[in-house]
Amino acid sequence: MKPIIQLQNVSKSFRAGQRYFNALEQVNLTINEGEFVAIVGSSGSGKSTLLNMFTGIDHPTKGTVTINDADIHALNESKLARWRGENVGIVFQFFQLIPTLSIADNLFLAMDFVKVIPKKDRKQRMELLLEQVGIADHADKLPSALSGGEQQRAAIARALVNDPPILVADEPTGNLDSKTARAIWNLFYDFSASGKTILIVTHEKLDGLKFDRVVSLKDGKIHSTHTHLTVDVHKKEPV
Amino acid sequence: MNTPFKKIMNDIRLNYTRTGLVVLGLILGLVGAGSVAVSYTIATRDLNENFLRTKPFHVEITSGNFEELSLDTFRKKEAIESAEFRDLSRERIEVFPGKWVKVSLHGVEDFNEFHLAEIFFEGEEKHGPIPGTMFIERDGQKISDITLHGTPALRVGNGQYKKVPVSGFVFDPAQSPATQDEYINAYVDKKTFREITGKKSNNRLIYRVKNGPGKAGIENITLEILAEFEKAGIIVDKVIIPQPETHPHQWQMNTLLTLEGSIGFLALLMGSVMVWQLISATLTQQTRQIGILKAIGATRRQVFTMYLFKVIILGVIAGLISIPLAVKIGYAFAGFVAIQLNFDILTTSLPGYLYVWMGAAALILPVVTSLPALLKGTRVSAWEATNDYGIQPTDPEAGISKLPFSSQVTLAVRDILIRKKKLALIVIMIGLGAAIFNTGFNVRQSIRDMLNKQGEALNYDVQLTLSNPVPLQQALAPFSDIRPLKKIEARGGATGVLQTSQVETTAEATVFALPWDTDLFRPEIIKGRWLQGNGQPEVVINQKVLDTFEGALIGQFYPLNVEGKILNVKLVGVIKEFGLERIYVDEEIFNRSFNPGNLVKSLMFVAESNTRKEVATLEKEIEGALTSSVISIANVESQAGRMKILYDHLNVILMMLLSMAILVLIVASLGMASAMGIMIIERTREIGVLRAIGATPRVIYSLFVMEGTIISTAGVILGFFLSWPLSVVASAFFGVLIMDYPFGYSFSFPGVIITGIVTLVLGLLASYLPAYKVVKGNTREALLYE
Repeated sequence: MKPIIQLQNVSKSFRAGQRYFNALEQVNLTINEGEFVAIVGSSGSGKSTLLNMFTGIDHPTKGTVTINDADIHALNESKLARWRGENVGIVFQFFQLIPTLSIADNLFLAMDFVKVIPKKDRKQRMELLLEQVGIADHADKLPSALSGGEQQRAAIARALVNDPPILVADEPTGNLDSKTARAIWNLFYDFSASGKTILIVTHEKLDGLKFDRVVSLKDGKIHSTHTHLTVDVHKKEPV
Repeated sequence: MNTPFKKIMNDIRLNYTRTGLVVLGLILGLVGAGSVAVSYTIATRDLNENFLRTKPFHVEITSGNFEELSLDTFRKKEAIESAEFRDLSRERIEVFPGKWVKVSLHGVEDFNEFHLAEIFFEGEEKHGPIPGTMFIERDGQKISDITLHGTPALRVGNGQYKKVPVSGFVFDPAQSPATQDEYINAYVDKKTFREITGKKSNNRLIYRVKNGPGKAGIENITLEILAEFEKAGIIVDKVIIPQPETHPHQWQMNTLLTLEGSIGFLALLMGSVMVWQLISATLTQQTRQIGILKAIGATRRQVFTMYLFKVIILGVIAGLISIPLAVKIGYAFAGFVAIQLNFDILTTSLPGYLYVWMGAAALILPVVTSLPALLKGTRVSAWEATNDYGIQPTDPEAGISKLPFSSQVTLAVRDILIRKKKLALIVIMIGLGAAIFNTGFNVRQSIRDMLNKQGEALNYDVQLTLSNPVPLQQALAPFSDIRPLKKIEARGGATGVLQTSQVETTAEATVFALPWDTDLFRPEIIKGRWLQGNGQPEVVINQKVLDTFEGALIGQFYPLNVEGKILNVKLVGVIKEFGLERIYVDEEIFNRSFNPGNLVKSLMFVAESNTRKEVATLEKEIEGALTSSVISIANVESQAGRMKILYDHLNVILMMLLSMAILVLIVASLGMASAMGIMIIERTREIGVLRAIGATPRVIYSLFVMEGTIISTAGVILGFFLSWPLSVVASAFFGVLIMDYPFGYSFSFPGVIITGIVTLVLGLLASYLPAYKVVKGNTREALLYE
């Protein structure tokens, strides 16, 4: 399998008042194409910081991050934004849909910025994705008219609308009830099965969930990595 | 529509309060600047047009023997555009029963063919007055009860009274408005002029010079003409060359337009600051959204373009509202100026460039004012933006909690100190508003103090000026029995000029001869000293004369020409007074050199007490005494009347100053309200938390009102500090504009009280009203607010 994400000796420090705080320390991690990876750890372990390294939202204090053969932290902010739009779809814990645009327009917005999908194909792409996530009927509604689960589905659709090879999700089910969360996990399984590389940061219990690998963080370092789980990542659980 | 722009349009539509405030700020600025541009264009163009279309004369020469001059030949001179004999006599006219003012009686050669100094007929009839009757300049109706076919009395020549019917009204835009200078202009044919005044016609030649050569050119040409007159044996009594192509009250229009310009500029400034603040707050509030946009692939340029589009759209909306409003207000103000200065608004359609300018301003103003906020707000990285929870890192404890305040006060103070930069801007805005508001009062006080000083300088109650000097006994005779009279002082005088060149180019100065040690006149000396009884030929001039004579020096000798007689006098001092050019000389010196007969030109009356009632009685008694007198009177004016004229001149300016001050403070308060509103919205979650832990709405209100009061108080204190230098500069500026001499700084105590109260009240409202909506809202929703 081809490595798609490579972190080499990545460290990240933050300043808190007069002190410095190490969020990540000497992290070395390789994610292969098509892997479905969970990043777990308690609060303050560095999960979100690690996620920000994958998305280019944050830069390491030391070390390098190579994604899809690109040294992303050598890019300036504008090029990084463009790179991100083409390569990484991000799903946030609080959905972060644009509140003044309809669901359909939230997807169009992402396509208009990145311009990877030809104009003539955008409507079809939007409809396809909303169908895939199960909210095609809500295309013309504002986010405030949808439930939490529906908004998260819309966020997933937006993250995938430009067909990026990598999908990154930060606590995607943190705000949802268990039944809704189950539905969201099933969506992730579907996209993983289609060949997407998916990285999920979660502190949810992994019972019943399936991953190719679970990376456990503690105090900014990789504590353990389970490269195979006993459960079948490609078998859906009923909702 | 492109989705990024769709997002912006939806933002505008759905956040209508914020949108409304931004548009309001833009409208304020655009209407302020636009109306100034419109009224300036109309007023300057139309005043000029009104004035210039009369073809005003460039030179006025009086002589007793113009019979030697052929007018036709004179008109054919190469340098002469046009010329005419226009008689002029200054008499008095009864405007109300018992009330008399000056009248300038113009004897016109041909009402159907004006070569220059044209007057325009009001009403249907377009011909001259019926012989034996007169036309009255229309502005005179505002200070009299003179009506068409009325027969007001004129007091002329040797104390004769003549009732002259009014056969029409005319419009003479070249004259000072009657309302401003309290005198009337009347127009008769030459024969009627001679019959009324008993004077010869054709003693006054007026002419225009070709090609507008400017003052110096006109002087040179006039010198040549005078030389020719001398050769021809024409004895010239007087030559006057007014400032060419300048309306007599141009200074007043300049003052009014300057004031309006100041208001417009301030509105523009305040509006710009308001827009900048609001856009800045919008971007701050949308920081996380901007982060999300960048996270999903938007570049900084794309985000910047989106928000720039928003600003432009708001500018277009504001422009569509403000341009017609600015035109309307501009026309209204121009109309106001026109009424004050007695001219017609001729502009029916504004020049195209004005609309282009206003349209461009509507687009450029919001972009320019928002640019710093746009650049800063869109520069934020995706990481900073997505990690922004509206809570800023704070500095370590500043020791506030150790102070003996309640926890609420501590919270209010701490909240203020956390947002130092933002609140500094609000404090500055309030401070500026308060400073300007207070400056308006201080300048008003300066003007009032100046008027009071003028009044104090004159320790007489009524001044009577004779048309011609007469012997003392003759002047005093009519007034021997009048009451209540404490004292009469007689003074000589004439018209004359200090010569610094061969021809004087101003309206001649009045030479006042008075006892050097008189206690009826104690003016404010601004240079040098007052006259002394040392027997030496000395003069003191007022600042108007000083303005005319460039380079005049204290201690220098200058020829004083009084009706052809010349005396070398030493300039010893300059005084400050409101009015025309005046030269003061000791009575003894004057009589010795110019007035061997000790003739008297004016009388100063002092009432027994200077109560308004007694002075009014005295004035009436004087007028009554004149009815049976044969002496020719030029003017009778009470001090109160004079002050009233001065006050009327300045009242418009005073009112505009206060209006400007109020407008500025309201705009500053609007700015504060919008800023407070934004801050409150940003703290919606905080408010939700406070309510969740037990704070009642009253407590929440008191928190914000406390913050608002602290901010307003800081603003007021800053304002008072700022208003001092501002008042000094503004007072000096208006002094120069109005009387060619800077006013001193005056402190207005009522202004301080009013400024403090008004600013604090507006600040209170500005913090209470925005809090109202949020406090009334749902606690759960407040906690969820993001």
